[in-house]
Amino acid sequence: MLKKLMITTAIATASFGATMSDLESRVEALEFAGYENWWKFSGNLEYRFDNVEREYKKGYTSSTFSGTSTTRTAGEKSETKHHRIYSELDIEAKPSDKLSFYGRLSAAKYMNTLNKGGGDYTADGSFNELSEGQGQGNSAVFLERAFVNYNMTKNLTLSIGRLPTIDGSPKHFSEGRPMMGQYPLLAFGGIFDGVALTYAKQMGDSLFKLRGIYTPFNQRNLDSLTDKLTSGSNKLDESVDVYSAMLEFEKVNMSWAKRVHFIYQYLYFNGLSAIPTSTSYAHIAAVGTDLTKITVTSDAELGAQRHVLYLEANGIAHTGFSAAFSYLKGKTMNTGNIAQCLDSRANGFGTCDSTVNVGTWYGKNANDSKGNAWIANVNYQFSMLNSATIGFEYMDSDKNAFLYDSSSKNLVGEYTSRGGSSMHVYWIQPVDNKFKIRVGYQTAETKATNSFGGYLGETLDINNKSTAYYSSLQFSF
Amino acid sequence: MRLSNVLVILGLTLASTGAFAGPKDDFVDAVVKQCGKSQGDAEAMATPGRSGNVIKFKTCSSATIDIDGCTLQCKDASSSIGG
Repeated sequence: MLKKLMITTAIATASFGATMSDLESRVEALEFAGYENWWKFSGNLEYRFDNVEREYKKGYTSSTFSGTSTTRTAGEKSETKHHRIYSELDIEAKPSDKLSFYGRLSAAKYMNTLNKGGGDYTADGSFNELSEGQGQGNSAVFLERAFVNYNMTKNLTLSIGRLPTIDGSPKHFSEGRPMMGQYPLLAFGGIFDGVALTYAKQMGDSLFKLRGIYTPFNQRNLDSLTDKLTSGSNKLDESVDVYSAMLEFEKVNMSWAKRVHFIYQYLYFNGLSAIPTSTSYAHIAAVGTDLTKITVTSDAELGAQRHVLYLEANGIAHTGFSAAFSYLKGKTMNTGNIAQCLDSRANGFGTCDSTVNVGTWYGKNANDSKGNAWIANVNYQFSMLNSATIGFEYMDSDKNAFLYDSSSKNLVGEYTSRGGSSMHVYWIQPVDNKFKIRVGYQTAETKATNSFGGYLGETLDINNKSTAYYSSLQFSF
Repeated sequence: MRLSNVLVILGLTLASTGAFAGPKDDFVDAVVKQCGKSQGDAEAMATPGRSGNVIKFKTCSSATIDIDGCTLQCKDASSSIGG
């Protein structure tokens, strides 16, 4: 009996030892996989269809630097359909407790555009798009964001890179997403490269953040990298300093709301010379029917000073009701002049036959132009219908407000309707937590523009009304 | 031998728990702060696995997510400068 017991114990011990050894190696492998796998990928893909109508209630003529002009007659209408794809591939890496990296590769495109209608895009050739990524063509991948956060101390974080400044609040309201970009939309709707230092302090349910950001605008001579650009007779510095300061406050679980988020931002730059010397050729009726050489020279400079407030409250009265308000107090500082030298072939392309002084930013003459704008948002998320959301957005702006939104998914110019107002009604219907359907209706009335490119030269009183309805299928993965 | 194995596995388990504690801690912290639940209740809600609540919160791409009657605000760390 004792002998049997000893044998059984020996077998059990050997078996347990082997099992433990096997478990040990498996746990080691799991642990190593956890350490090794500090990269994470996620993304978003959207198919969006827009039907856009535009009515020009007042006639006007706008011009381009290449000598062409577009005349709109009062009562002119157009209707266009747009099928577009937006894709985002997000990358996150946390190789250590102190360092994190965030990147986004993105593409926004029309579906299968075979006739590109004369824009710059025609440089790609009509059918290249059908083989991009497969043929030896030009298929660009855009790095929308790429930045690191380095925790210098528990409260202080250094951020460097292509920062997530675009698509800021309140754009996430109508997208049914968390905050999509750091700069409130009215501050500047663009992607800025730069350096930021954030001080964050959590106090109970409240989070305070103070942030300084430096994002220089480059004005660089790409023809000769070691030479400076010139503006008139002056040599330009390579960069224009763009400074911004932000104050953020966030608090959760209050008696009247589940969360509030407040942002104040100040942004300033001055002396940006963004118009390069250029030469083009066109037949201009005003100079005769002969070919005319048009040379554009500029010493026009743009400056901007912006104060922006943003306040968002979610789960008001502990219901599905959320609201936000954004306010911009803005000023642009505009100097210099843009000159178009018109030189016809008949005169031998030598001296200017005539010179057109276009003016400067936001006007014919140097000016300090003040303009404010505001946006109000309300959303209601139902507790039924798979947490569907209905929302409304309204914006109003002054004629001289400097409004910039370079990511215009919306085609009515909802956030850039100078001197007028815009509104947006939408429904967000989640199918599940990875797929949602959105439908919406937008209108925008623009009452002011400038004769060159919308921002330069004489200010024109216009009355353009745009309306659109859209549908969107959005998948996250 | 057995004791050392047990100690090694215990050590590895604790280390693994530490390595994966981030998302669970974030979830528990959010539930406590945003829904006023107790630490114990929040930990009970932190179910693991591919279809568990922790991963639902971690990968949330909507503005909010409802988990067992608690509505949590989702966050996208890549859209914030400084985290």
